[in-house]
Amino acid sequence: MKHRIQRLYRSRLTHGVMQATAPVGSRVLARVADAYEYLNTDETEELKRNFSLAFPHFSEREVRELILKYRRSSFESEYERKQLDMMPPAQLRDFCMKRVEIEGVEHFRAAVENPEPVVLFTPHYGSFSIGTMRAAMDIAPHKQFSIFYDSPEKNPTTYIYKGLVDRLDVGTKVLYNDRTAILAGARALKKGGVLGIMPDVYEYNLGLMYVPFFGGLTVAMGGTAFFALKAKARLLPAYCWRRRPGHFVVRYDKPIELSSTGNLAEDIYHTTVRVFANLETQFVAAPEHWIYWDRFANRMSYEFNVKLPRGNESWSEQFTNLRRAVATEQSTLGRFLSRFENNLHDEEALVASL
Amino acid sequence: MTSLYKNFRESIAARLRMHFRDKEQLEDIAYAMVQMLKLPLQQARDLAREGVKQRTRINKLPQVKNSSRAIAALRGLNIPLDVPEALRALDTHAGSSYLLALPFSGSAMSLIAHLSRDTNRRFCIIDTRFTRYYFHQFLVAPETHERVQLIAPAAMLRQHRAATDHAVTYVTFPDLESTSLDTARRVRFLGEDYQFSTLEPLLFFRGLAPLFTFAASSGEIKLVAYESPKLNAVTEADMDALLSWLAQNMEQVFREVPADVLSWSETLMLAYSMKATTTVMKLKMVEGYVRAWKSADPNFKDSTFARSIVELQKVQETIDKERLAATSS
Repeated sequence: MKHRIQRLYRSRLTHGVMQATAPVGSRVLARVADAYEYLNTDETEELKRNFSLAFPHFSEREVRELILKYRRSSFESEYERKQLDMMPPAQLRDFCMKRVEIEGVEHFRAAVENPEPVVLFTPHYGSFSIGTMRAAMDIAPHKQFSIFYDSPEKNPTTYIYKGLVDRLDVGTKVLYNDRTAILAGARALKKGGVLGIMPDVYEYNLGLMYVPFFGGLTVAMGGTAFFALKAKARLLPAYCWRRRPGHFVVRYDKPIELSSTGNLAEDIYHTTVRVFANLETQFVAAPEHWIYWDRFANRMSYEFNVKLPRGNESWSEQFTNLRRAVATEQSTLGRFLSRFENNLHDEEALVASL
Repeated sequence: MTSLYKNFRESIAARLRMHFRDKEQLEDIAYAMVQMLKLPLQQARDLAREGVKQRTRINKLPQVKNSSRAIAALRGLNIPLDVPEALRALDTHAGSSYLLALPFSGSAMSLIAHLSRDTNRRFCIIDTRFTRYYFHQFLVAPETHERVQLIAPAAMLRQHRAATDHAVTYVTFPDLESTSLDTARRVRFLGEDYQFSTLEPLLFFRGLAPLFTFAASSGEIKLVAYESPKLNAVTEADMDALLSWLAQNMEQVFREVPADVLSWSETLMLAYSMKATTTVMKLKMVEGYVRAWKSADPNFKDSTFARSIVELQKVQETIDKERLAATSS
């Protein structure tokens, strides 16, 4: 019985019904998303706060509209995920080929037709799962494609992807973000392959850093830059979103230039800054598709209410504010930062006197 | 004669080791209570002494030669849990699997000893260095060794997914589970940020229901079940809601019946680990600002910048090394 249901779940019939009802389904979904907006007031407040932080120049009405667009986009993403999960292999391949347009194809071709390895990155944005499937199909004739994601044990929402990659059956390798990740990623690139990474997630480790993002600092992992720098790979940004119901676009941007100071730690930082600048450009252009707006403030430095240094300003006074915001004077961290600040001032004074 | 003398000497040495270990444990627990309950040292010592007798007894049990007798002794502990009431509540789920997410305590040990009488029931207990020691007798006793196993969190998730004909009691101790940030959520516990593993919400939302924990009031413990309108949910908000509920109930146990809790030192160490990661993240943010400052200010000297970054990173490394040393000891 279980197998019969499974067969029906991913049958051509189910797929056909899904496709035939998609236009209506999409409209219903939009209405449900709008209704959800009013029902879930806590989340709406959180989104309002986060969008206002990211776009301080937006009026209240603009923020409200953005929340509605965001909600519809996330509902559609979830619906697409389910749709993909229900597709039999042939339909899945057909869907990805016929429903997805490619922009920036020259950047893609230059990357895959060249022997050098490629680090392809995309954030959790829009229809990223469809974009990844399409990329996998386009890369397959040229290079080995390996993608990083969390194992289902770590993140239960990823269980769907392993099935998708298996059903697509174009030789894509799945690498889990675990202790073997660095070695596996390096191996994939050493053979001139393409490594797919999503840079907008993070977990605690000493390699974390804070980089400029939406007028503040955001926490970022250096993995994307690290792999690109170590393998001297082409660092290619990609974004996928729906243009209209059932039709999608994958856009490849110009490759990100790798920093080349010769100091790996500094190069990782500067390259990561460029990666996040690229993300920010896309998120400003069409913000509603980034799925992590609901937890945006958690990753940002806004809570300390200290503005980033700009232009030619000397930032000494602001550093004092930062120190006071980060730790109390009596705490160990506060004492360390006081001493640290004094040293900065002493050196500044010494330079001025010379 | 030599053998007699040797045995005598070894026995004295063992007793001395145990004596000093118990004394050390008492001081560790008192220190943890000072830090976590914000009590004066003397009051914390008095509170820690209240549980000495019970702890000493539990500490000795894993070394007892007769495993069955050791498990029986656990059943006979004088604990603040209303055992008959708890067993009645669990009896209604006799034919199915459920999850016990309990504070590591004398009551938890005793409850599991009582439950292990049901020979149709299997037990999957979370594998930590503490459970490895304290549940040793369950792993070797003839009546339980085939039904009790210690397993790692990932294996527990896998095992739960696999179909099984037996009713299984899954036992976790959220106050003992060390975890990395990616598999943890930050939850308020005893007034501080604390890292809780996502294991319990993952198990629960994947269908391992009901989930029980201990709640305490007026010095007594009772078993309570988590009630959620939805199952199979995996949003972070759902996970946070469950973990907050768990943390609140565990906090009651830590405050109301501190003498019953066995995990004071371990829980303090995990809280310390959380503080250390928060400090490292703050230093990383300061580093981020210094870098932005350097990019904006042409008068910011290269050598000052380089020295500042080295200094900030060195402190981060030192704190992280200490954190790792503390969590792996």
